[in-house]
Amino acid sequence: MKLFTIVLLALALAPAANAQTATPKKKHKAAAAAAPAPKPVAAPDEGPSGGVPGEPDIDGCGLGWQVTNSQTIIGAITRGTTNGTVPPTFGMTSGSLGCKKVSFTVRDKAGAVYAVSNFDSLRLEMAEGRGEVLDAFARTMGCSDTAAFDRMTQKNYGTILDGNTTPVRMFFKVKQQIQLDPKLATSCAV
Amino acid sequence: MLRGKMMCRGELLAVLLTVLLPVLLSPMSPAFAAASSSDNADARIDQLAHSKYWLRLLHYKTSWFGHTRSLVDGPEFFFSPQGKTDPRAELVATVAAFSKDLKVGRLKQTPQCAFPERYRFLKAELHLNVKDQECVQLAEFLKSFNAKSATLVFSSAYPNSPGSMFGHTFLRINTATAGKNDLLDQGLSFAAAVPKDDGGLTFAVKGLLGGYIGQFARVPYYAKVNEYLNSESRDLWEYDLSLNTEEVRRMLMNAWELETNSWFDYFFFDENCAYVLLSLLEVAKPDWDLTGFAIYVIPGETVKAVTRIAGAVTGVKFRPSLRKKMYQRLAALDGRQRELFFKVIHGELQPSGLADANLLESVASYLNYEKQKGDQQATLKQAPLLQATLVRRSELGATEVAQSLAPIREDTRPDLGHETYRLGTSTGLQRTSLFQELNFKFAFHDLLNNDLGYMKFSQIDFPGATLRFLPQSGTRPGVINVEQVQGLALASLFPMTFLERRPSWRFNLDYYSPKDLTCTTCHLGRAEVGAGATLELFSPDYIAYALGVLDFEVGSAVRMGYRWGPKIQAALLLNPHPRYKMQLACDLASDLLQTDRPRGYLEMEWNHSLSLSQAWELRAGLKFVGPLSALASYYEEKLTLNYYF
Repeated sequence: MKLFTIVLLALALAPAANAQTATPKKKHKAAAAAAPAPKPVAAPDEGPSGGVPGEPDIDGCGLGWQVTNSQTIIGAITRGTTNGTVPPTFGMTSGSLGCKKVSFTVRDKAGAVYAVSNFDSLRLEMAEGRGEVLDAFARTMGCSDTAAFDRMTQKNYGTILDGNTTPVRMFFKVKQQIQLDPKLATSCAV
Repeated sequence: MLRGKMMCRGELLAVLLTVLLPVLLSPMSPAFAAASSSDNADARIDQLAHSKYWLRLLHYKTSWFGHTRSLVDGPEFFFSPQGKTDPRAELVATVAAFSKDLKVGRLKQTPQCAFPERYRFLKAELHLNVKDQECVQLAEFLKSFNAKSATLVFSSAYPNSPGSMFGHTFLRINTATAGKNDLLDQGLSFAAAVPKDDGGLTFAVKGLLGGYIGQFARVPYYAKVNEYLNSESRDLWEYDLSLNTEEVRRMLMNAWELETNSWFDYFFFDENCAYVLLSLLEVAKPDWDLTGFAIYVIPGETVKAVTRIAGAVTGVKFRPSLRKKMYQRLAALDGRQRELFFKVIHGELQPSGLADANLLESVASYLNYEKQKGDQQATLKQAPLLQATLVRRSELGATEVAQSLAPIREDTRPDLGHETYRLGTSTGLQRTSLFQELNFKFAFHDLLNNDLGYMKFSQIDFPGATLRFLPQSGTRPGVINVEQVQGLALASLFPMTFLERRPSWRFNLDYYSPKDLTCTTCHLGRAEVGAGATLELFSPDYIAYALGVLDFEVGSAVRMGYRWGPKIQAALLLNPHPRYKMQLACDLASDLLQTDRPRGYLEMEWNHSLSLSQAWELRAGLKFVGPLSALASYYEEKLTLNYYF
């Protein structure tokens, strides 16, 4: 009997759960702000070899180091902020791949690092011609017209990704295609 | 790391010193003299040293016994030798340091640049006469965030790693860039710095004892999304916080102060990612009291702590895992498409001949999901198929309308989940005698709990105890019996799908009062490990599972002082309504060592639970234990009211 009273009391007092209402996050779709001018940095030691002209020979092994490992604040500061020199610390996931030291322009670094980190998702979204990951990639390349970027990468999917393409090579091919596309060449800030 | 711990032990001494040497050593710098020109400067210093903001900025906490102590473990965080325990001495020493020629911390910065938020605060409050310095590294740091607002992000639990069983929280610092993409924001997380070669046990022990150093890390949000959503297939929940630019900046400056000068020892249960982030949020919003809990802090609880504050959260966004997105796509395929899907993934049909974008996207989604599991061999084998599928898909161009997808259930949202401490009372009948029970549990979630906000059909139970009171009956006096002391209980029931065969498993360690023996108040220690399979019955809400369990028990109540044997556990677990669960379980146990008694017994349970709110829950259960022989069987009925807090 006592228990029954407690139960009744509980039922009466229990506030309705799940009362929390969520406001969906607003997503801004306005044009991208002007990006700082690219600061070119010469590749010091190993030069480019093979593939796309101007593309450093890197197997997507080194850049991963920067993104797969958390950057402690100290690490990020002391590693310097000048360019994208990638020390051959260790390979991405499948052991050391004998990475070489490569340099990128400051401008390219954001896009290249992004391409390495998001390679799998980018492949899918390029083929499908849409997606948030692809949209962000367009922005790292300074393209504010993401719809045009999506169309271009879908149209040239076979050129950009031939099946054996490394993330960094894909990045340079996309860059090349942007320059070949009259609309994007003017609207992107590569 | 060791050094960090020794600092902690040295605390006792520091407390004594603080008591003996109040402000005898208070240095008088020119800047300080300027501030203290008025008569009540001392009073002002006192007031400021005990102001909420100063205490928060240096992460001082007051213990139950009234001791004030900062959570920060690195000595360079304090200018005063008593700084860790004396907010006033530290304030006085900090003011003095601002006009000294010092290089502090790991970046050998001037005190102003090393402690920019302390500097801003003290200068404004005390009208310090100190010239501002240029801090290049700090400016670079702040610029890298270009912060405008902040979002608290929760990643749901990942049962495959002991460090992730309760989920994880971190902050996303949203940039002021117009037309931004959330993925390009910066994540700010606090995590234990774990050396690569520290294995499971070392990790657990060191983690529990504070053997790791906690560090802040800045990682692009997309890398976090990749890590959680794709590699680990966890959901992400994003809670936009009502912080303005200035408040976010204060938080970043405090993170800078902590990270460039010091560290926190990392403890799994209290000083963990969740707790330190809350401390940081308290700096941003001094009105928010978030770190009130004791004993342990679970990431999900921190989200609750924030959502409980009216107006703190302005929006919630759900990012489902890669796995959920894949099943969402597959669920939208009709019979014919599904048939083709299997032909393609089994290599019987080339994607180049297909013209169905939805089908191709489903195939790509599946292959990509498989790839994220990290099996190099399988990935290599599937690579040509994935490429062919993607090439074909790209050739089809933009599709008209994507097949309508059923919404993904948003049932892992942590702030809607039940609370984690449990106190419960039961009344029941054990055979024919009435009993009362009291149970208490520290954490966390069991198979009969409402799964909202937790991982569905999982169990993680931490220490708890159940006491049973049997009133006097006939000649037997009243007795209080320990029904169970729970050590640790874990269970993960993964339903098998047409694509995946993952085993289900459970583990249990407890001390309990067995019912298959004739004694009423005897006890055994028990360890059970089991593995098996779970099947979904028509809907994700109905499952059946069968586990093979190895059971080992110790205690004087059994012959030879221990017993062991295999056990088969089969059960139905139904969740027809979000608030109601029913479990029908049957254990067939064998006891290989018995010679004078039956070697096997059957245990059946039929349980119901009704979740009334985040705090209240009602359970009813029937239990039957029968030795497979002529010995009398045991049965009980029980009604329980649980309160979660």
